[in-house]
Amino acid sequence: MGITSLYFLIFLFIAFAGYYILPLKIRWMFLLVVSIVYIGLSANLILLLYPVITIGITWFCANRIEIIRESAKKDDEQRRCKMHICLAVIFDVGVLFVLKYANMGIYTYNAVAGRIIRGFESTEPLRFLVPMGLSFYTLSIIGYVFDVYYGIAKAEKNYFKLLLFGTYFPLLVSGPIVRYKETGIQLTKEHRFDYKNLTYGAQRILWGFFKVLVVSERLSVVVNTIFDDPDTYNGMYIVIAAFGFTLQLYSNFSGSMDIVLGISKIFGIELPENFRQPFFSETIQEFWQRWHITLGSWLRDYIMYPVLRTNTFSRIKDRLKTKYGKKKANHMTTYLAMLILWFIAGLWHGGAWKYVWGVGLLQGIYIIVGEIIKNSRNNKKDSDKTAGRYLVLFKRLRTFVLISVSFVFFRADSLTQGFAFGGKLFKRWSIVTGEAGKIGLSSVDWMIMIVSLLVMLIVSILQQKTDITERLAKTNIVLRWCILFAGIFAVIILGNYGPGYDAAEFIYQGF
Amino acid sequence: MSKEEIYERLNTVFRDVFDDDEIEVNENTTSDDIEDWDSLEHINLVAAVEQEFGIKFTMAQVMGMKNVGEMVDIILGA
Repeated sequence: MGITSLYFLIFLFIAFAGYYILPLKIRWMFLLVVSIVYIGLSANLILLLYPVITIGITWFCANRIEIIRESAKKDDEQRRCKMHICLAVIFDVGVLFVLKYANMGIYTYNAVAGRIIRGFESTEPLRFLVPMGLSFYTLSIIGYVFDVYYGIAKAEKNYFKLLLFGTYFPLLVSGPIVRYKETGIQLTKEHRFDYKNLTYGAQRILWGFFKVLVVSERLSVVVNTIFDDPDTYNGMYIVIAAFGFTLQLYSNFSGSMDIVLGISKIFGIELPENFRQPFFSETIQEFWQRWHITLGSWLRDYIMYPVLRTNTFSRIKDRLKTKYGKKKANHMTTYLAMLILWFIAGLWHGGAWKYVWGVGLLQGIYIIVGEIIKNSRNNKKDSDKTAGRYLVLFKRLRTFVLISVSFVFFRADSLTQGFAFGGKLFKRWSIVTGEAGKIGLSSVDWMIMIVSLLVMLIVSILQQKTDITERLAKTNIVLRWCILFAGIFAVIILGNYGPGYDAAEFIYQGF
Repeated sequence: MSKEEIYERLNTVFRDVFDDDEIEVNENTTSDDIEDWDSLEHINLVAAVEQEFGIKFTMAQVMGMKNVGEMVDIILGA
């Protein structure tokens, strides 16, 4: 059941009505039931077993850690706590690995062995049914058990409350990755009906629908047409496809986040923002602080910081210090930890090398090169501060281009195809004429898409300066409703439903 | 150790880590006030402060420190 489908809207309406009719105290239980029904309607209900068991083990370990900490018997405390966190993490990561990465191992083995051994018979990939939102809820619950271990969060005594934290249905679509101490405790609080939450939430959903159905779906036609017909499209079209895909991914993923955050707002639950106008970033590092924010902060807190504070890393740093001096040793160890972080980030996106490279190591390399350049010019710090408007614009464009280059691998079928696609950039810069020249869209659709992208750009510029929802709420009632009706009609009339329409696909949903 | 003394020693650490002799920290100083204090440099700063004062921050403190004032409170309590 896609979240842009009519069925989902009906489901949401029933859930919303039921939630506010029921007594305050049991509303969170109803949310759990709704989430289970959602899983049943969207996929196979048997798949619920995965989160039920994984969260069960995590719940047990987190509570054990707290009991060990609070008990009077202090001997061996550290070791016993470590044992429990290891058990939880190994189990959670283990399930994720088997379900998501077993086939990556098989494909890699087939490819390598096929080249070395003559007459090699390839191993069949395994077929699994993967539970919804696996990659998202796994990270959220690993974060939770670490927070208990670090003493940042209290262990949740009630198993069903933790189960809701892992299976809360808006989060299963495509995140965000949440923290227990922020989102988890909100889920089970008593939320009274608030008209403001309803209107703000509904507006946000509408905006998400616009991004996904009007913009992203049209961009996907252009991008797919170019990618699927490598004989026709070369040169300039590769640039169009690369930029187009970056914009498609943004409108699709950030649009789905608008819908998810909007839905949650209606239930009175504030989820963390995952995007903050990423295309205004001047560096790649800044880009990742504005794009998929919750993944970046999760990796920083639970991978990079702990890795950098291990004894192994301290020893590496000490060795480097004697050879290269303190400053360089600091930087080098940070870069090494960054590469580990980005390798995991890439792997998280999917069990394929194209992700490990495109949304993984390549991003790490971009940031490290950026840091090296910055450090080498450190003495001329002030030169940047006087940067004019054009320099800022140049830096933003540079970031956009670099990101688009890396996202080509995200879109490609494989790492090899990604490189091949890049190679085509240097072939024939001729213009394709005739019907193929329109790249899958009619002139009217092109116009709708360009105007819609401009609307998104204007909204982004406004969002940089002000809270646009608050501002809309303060405008004159006639103007406000004109804008809202325009939005509703735009989605109904201009939404790209096409023949055999079955709700838009969410790129991050399969993760 | 007095608070003033801690701030004095922290100034030296900050100036060294961020290569900027003009840095003057106070209890309200946050990462927003120092240009190079980003998530990459945070751990290096933490390690330098630990070495200066001979203490070890917990992960909760590393992740949760919101300003220099909180850092000083932790140092005083250590």
